[in-house]
Amino acid sequence: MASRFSPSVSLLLLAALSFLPHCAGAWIKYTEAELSLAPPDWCPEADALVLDQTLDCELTADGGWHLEATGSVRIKVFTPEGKEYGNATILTPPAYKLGKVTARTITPEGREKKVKSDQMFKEWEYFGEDNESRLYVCRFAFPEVSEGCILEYHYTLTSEQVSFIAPFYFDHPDLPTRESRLSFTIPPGASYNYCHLNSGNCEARKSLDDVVSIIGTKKRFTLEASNVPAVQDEPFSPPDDYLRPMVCFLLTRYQNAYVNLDIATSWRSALESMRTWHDKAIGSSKLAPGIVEAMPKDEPRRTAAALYRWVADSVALSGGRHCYEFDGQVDDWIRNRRATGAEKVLLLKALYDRAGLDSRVLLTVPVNQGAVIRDFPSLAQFRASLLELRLGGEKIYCDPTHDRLPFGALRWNYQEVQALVVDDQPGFVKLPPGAGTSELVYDVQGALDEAGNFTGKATVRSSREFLYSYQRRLAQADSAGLREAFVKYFFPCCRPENLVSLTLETPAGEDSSLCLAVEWKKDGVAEAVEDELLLPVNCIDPQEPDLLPDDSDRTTHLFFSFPRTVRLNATLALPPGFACRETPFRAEGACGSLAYSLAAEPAADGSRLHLSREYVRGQRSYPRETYAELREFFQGLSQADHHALILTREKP
Amino acid sequence: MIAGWMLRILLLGLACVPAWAAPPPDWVVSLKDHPRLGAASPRDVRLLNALDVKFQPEKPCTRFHQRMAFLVGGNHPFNPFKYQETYAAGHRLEPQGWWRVTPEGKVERLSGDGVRASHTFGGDQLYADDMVMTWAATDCPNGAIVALEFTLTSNDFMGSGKVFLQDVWETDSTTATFRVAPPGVVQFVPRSGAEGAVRLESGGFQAGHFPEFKDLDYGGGFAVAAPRVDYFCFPSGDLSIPPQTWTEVAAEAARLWDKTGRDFQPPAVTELEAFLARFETEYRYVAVEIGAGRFIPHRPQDIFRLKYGDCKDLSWMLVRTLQAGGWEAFPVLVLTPAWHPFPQAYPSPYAFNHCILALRRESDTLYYDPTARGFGLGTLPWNLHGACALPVCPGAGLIRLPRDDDPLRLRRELDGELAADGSVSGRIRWTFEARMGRIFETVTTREEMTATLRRALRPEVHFTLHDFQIRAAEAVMEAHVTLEGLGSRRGAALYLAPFPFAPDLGDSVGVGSPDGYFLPRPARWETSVSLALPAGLSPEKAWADSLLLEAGESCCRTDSASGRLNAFWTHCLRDSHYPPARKTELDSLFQAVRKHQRMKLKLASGG
Repeated sequence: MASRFSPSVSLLLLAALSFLPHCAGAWIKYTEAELSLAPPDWCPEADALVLDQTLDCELTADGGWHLEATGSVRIKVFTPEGKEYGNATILTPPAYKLGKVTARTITPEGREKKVKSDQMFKEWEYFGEDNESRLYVCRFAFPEVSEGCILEYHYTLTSEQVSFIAPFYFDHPDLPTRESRLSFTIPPGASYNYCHLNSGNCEARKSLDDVVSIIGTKKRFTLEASNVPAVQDEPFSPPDDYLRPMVCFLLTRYQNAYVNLDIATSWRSALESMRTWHDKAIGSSKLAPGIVEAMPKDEPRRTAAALYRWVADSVALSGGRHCYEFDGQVDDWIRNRRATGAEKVLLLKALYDRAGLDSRVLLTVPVNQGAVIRDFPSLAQFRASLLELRLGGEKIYCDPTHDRLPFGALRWNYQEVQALVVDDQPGFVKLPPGAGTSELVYDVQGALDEAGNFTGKATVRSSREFLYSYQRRLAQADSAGLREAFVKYFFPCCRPENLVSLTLETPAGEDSSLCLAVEWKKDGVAEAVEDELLLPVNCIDPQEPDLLPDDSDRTTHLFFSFPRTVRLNATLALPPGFACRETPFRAEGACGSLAYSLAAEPAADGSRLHLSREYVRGQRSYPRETYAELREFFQGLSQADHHALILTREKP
Repeated sequence: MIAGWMLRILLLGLACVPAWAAPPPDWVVSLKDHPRLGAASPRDVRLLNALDVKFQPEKPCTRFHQRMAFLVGGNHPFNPFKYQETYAAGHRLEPQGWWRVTPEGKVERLSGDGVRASHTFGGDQLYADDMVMTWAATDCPNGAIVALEFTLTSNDFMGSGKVFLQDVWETDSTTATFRVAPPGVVQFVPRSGAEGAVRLESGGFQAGHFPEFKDLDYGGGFAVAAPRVDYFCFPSGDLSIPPQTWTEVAAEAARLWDKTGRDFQPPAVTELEAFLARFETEYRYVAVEIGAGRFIPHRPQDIFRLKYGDCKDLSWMLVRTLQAGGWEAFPVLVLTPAWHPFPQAYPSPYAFNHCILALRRESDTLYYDPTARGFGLGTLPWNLHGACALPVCPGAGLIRLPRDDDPLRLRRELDGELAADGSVSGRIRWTFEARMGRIFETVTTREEMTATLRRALRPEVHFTLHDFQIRAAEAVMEAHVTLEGLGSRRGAALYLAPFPFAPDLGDSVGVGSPDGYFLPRPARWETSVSLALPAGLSPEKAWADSLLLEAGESCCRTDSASGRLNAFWTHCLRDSHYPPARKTELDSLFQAVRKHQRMKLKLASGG
């Protein structure tokens, strides 16, 4: 499980790994009670339990400040499945050096089996799709892993990076944790602030007053948690920042010179360096004379929109979004027509400056990747930058990273999130909400045959988020790719080979809607029962419903992607000789911002059916407290969807 | 004199041009003129794959030299660019440079810092003996070309192998050249649709464009369905005389393996079943394959001490232990899954990817896969049934592992009560009439049972789980549930779809691969539903239909008596592989299964 904090500045990318002891090799004495331990009452079905995990960090001033950390983890195995934790991985972030690692198994009888040093495999590995996510790992396998054994490992880390220590997770990604402790010792002349998130998920966290102790001339922070549940693996769970208990430290005083005094000052200090980077990147750039001058000048809004369009469309995104790393200067990005997301934002700001338009860079975290921690004045937490443009009294937010986004629009995951303003006076703004749900509309004309098979055609129109997400992919795809993408994103009920034809009808350059025409067939949409056909109301619904687990209580909030309205209007010709003599069927339901309505209405002569279905998911997340209500809503929707209309064979 | 020294210094300096300063080779420079340079590609494309293989059976040694060029497209893994090459730990992979050709045509050498070797990725890779070399660069925009060159050397004669013409990315051009000292020859066998797409030449072949490989339902996977050319080197020049026989391969393997186990002194084993049961509890499997280049196990005493190992380690430790107890046991190399193409005519230790063990008794031989828990001695996982295998013992030849002709039997039952509103309350029971390995270990908690039910039932059926039981000894799982969505009330009638389970097969068998259709193992599903009907309601008619084909069968019938409705389904697949010509038959079978499982009944008063 990766941290959202940038590996290049975070101290510990403590994922599956985390925690370190006083010195590698200082084994922890186990007790008889631990050897015979059964899963405790608060996690009775656990395959294994983290007995304790510790990380002891110390800042030393020996020839310049650096950090030394030792960690330990002990895991009790309860079941055959728990034996998989006998294969261990320790990840080290780039700024840190992994030292000695020691590990041993304590068998249920109390025998010790150590892992030999030549069985510790240390190497670089790449994670995910980002080539910059390269981490140094240590992998090893514990010997004699069996039910009842205890797995224990220790390791050391060192680093010259002392300004930011984050994050320490008090939980384990897969296992419940009995005890978890972080201690951080600092010498005189140093001062740190810390903040923690989601600590409500732990029991017995010590109060703030107990956290700091004085040891001689040193100060020690100690944070502990107990009985921490494992991260719940549930469908539609939110990102880690909303779930996992963690703590971060930030340097506030360095060798008697205050780096930051309070949170506001700390933010100001952090932003000073940010502004320095900006100044360096913009520098004395010439800004490719002519770009600004070529834009319309009659009206500032038109100028701003044209410059935005130029940066979004003419400068290719290269290397990812980033938010504060810059390679080269503005003129380089213009010359190469290539820049990272942060560079594109800064380039747009430089162009706005040249055009006399007032703008400010914002730093933020997309809601599906984490949360902005206002009490933690470190730039390392941010994932993206945007631009706030001020025109008169109006604020317009610009994200020139992607070429499909209209001027002034924000993607759903940037709406209503906090953003830090890069300015003389640091402050936060809440980005504006979007304009309601994005729409996906299917207009269908089709026919059924006697065997219940369907053939038909439809136009599929969508707006905003659907457009931003899929249009480029669809427009660039070849025929096979178009079918594949269409079925994946718009028509999951269908297989690509069942599409008779598919055309992307959106005119080139169109940026307000996406339109596709499709012709398809699907067998068995209605079932024959003696002389009748049973036709479910959702027989041609191309989208799959949001299904929830049938029988569990959620522990996490429901977290979907962008809000949407999906609407279907269909006219269905019935097979010759069949008619629908039923009264019109209607169903509807609502739960907060969720709503559905379904209607099926036979034509007067019974030869056709008009079907309509609308589903609205008006929010991107729903609190777990409302889960029971939501489950009822979705089950009601599912039942209505499967309501069968009866088509009867007319007697001649 | 001085001039001589200056000349020497100058020559030394020229000889020491650092790699980063060396000019790019001509084949890379020529990419500046590639017609696809700068093209916005929605997909990743391998423009060039040039393989040069040199066999030196006398040393022995095999050297693979490879040049590749990629057009950076719109998707992972080439944007940002990342290419990975897997190789055996005993081999040497030496990168010989890599370059970026920008969309504007500028050729730039990429940093060696972006090239790293590591063990194969994954949680269980220890002991797997495989390495992976990664080339990763962050600044290669769409339309750029990345070129790379490397040499892979093995101190072994690797006389056979495969060159895939299609891959997980679009491929533009593949060329392969093979060299062996006279009178040696190399034989090429195009497979899986490559026959018409490859141009065979003396000592090599060429192929053109292929779209990216897509895994198809029932297609058998990449190793079976992707077009490829198999190559076989015959140093004697005679295609009927391979370098070695299977007996020689077995004898050599036995000799090498024997070296690692001589000083192992295992504990005495008397009760075989109890010993294997303890083995399955105490030992764990921590590798994924036998390794392409190293098939020699670790020392059995180390495995005995550590209590983990890969397939060959566990097999060899068990074999040594059983041999010490007086049993006649030996390891068996095997290719899994059994339906993967096996080069029977070209004996080689590289033909295998897995290891099990055999126990020979007076009247029969029992096989045991130490990595497949829960099967016991004498029962193999179905993907090994009928597989080509080689016992690691002197004098042995190629064998086929036994097939279990009895299909997997799964019986599902729903016994309950149908309410007037169409909901059902009752018990669902699964009985597995064949060994299913770890099936019962995967369901231990209520959450896991809920997830199992969600997968097992039709999506529109909503359930409430009241309680459940796992009786592993009887191979039974049972759940007490309430189901909603099986029936719907319409006026006086109740329409009932009595089959509550998710479809067992797809709508059709699909397009398949050139080698045909690869279905789940031979299986027989028997399903019965018995429901007490609401007072006054009964089916208007009984329902019966069946289809019996050579490929399999599907039957369904209903009856009702004493206020109960009984429905029975039987679906059977008789084989796991069908040639392409049997598509029509398979489609008919699939459609019949679908029709039977979707059967609906109308219950009415006085029906």
